[in-house]
Amino acid sequence: MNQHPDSADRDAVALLSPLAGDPAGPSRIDVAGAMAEGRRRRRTRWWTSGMAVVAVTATTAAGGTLAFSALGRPTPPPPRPAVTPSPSIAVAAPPAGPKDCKVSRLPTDGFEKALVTGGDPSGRWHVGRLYPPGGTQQRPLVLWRDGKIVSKVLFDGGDDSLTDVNSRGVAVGSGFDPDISPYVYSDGKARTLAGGEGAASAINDAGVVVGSLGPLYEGVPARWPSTTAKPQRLPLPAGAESGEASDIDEAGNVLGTITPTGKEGTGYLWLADGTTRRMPLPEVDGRKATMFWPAAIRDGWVVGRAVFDTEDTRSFAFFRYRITSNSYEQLVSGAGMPARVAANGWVVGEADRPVITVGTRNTKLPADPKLKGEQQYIVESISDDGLVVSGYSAGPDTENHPLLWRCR
Amino acid sequence: MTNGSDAEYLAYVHGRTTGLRRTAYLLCGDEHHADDLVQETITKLYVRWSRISGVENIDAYVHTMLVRIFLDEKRRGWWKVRLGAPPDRPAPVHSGHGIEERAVLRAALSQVPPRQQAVLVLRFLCDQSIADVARVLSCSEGTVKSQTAHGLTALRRILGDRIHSLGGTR
Repeated sequence: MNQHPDSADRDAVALLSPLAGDPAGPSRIDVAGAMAEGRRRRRTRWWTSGMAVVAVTATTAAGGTLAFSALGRPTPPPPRPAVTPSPSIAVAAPPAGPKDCKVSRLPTDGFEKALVTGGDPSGRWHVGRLYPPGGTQQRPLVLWRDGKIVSKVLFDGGDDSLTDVNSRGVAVGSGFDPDISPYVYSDGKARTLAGGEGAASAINDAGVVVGSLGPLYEGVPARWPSTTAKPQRLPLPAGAESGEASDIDEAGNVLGTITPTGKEGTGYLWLADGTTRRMPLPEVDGRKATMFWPAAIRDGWVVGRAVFDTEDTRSFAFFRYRITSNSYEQLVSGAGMPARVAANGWVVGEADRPVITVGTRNTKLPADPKLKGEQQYIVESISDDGLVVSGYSAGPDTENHPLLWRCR
Repeated sequence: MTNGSDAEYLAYVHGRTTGLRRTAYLLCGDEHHADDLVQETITKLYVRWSRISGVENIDAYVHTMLVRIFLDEKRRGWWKVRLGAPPDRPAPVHSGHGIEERAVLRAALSQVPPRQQAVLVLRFLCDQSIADVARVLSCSEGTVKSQTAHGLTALRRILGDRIHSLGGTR
């Protein structure tokens, strides 16, 4: 019965050949859902292992860094405890800060699953995406004004998303067709931005758009002076081969990341005065960060997280940075991972619920009481007065609800 | 306002979904199930992205994740992440082979031990080398060869006389 190996392989290929073929139906893969669920799982790890680290260092560190062990560890994390690290130093609450915060679900025209993907500085405009049941149809994009749907639109590309909207209701986003393409949505009309392949990340009230040009993985940071202008490439420092601009404030300061060859990206600023600045690497307990991952810029404030790597662990510490003084301040314990910053310097972060941090005072925003099961909350915007926050919940079975928190 | 890492992830996933769906479909034989496997794979990938986006052969890494998720599911007999209710969709297009023929073969393959199933699919449907399969399954090339032989023997035994009604030489 011994056959030559090649002959045996050919027989096996022939035997199994009836099973060959591609799936014929449309993909139900939900990349945004995978990211939301992935973020939820990431956060679960931080809280579970972060608790231990905070407990150990509570006597020495005011805002203990949250750490988690290296990926691929053999045992799965235990269920997330229903508490966040408590502030390690008690400070009398200053008078400023949000009060009486209430949560509401944004309307979705009957769609069960929907996301908020951005909001404007006035707190009036929000953008998002609706998910038709079954996952085979295209996902309409949606604009809300004052908590009501003002338009729903279908784009031609795949996996479209609106990433930001300004106070005039002009939104920007990107879609894949099949390459990624940046677009602007204004007065009920969508248009592709000039410059070919690229992505739009943010727009300010003056209509300046920032993002990247080229394929996402290898793109370069870019700025469109207006929604009808050709893009300008933002300069990359020596040693960086790619990067992206992720946010812009009203003065025109642009925040982004640059990616040195063979490494992960780190924070970079293209300032309105024409100068550029690699964001400095903050220190915690005498250790200098490996990278800084910025999240948002507003009125000269930047928030983000410093990354501390050792051979087999990665930990984070959360910071607010001021452009004028080129200095960081570590956020108090319990502030969560910073997501956005308001013009008044208030920071909104992601913990087990969204948290608004004003100085040393944390205000935890309420959970949506209608939602069942364990929920995580992902934050997308905060208004300039710090009183309106948007985001969405991520619950069991990749369920998402678009939410708006209003405070006084 | 995605950060750089998210953008890289999106670009990567958009470029690989078709290939991952195909492999998942060949492994499990069901489109809806294949989408669930890919959904879990890209979710896990996102969790780990900041740590692995710089690895040298990320495609191999991700396909390994997919195969391990498939095997893990077989072991546990249930699945954690389900996408929304599957809609009606056309039957897969397979030229030259009848529906019944595929159903018989798929049913037989599903009775072969899971690791042997994975070896047979990866080697003979995904056209992967013995070395590649060994890396995906974290075992030696010798083990891949023996699992191939055991898997084929088991498959032929389960098929019995029905093997003669299938196309191709045996």
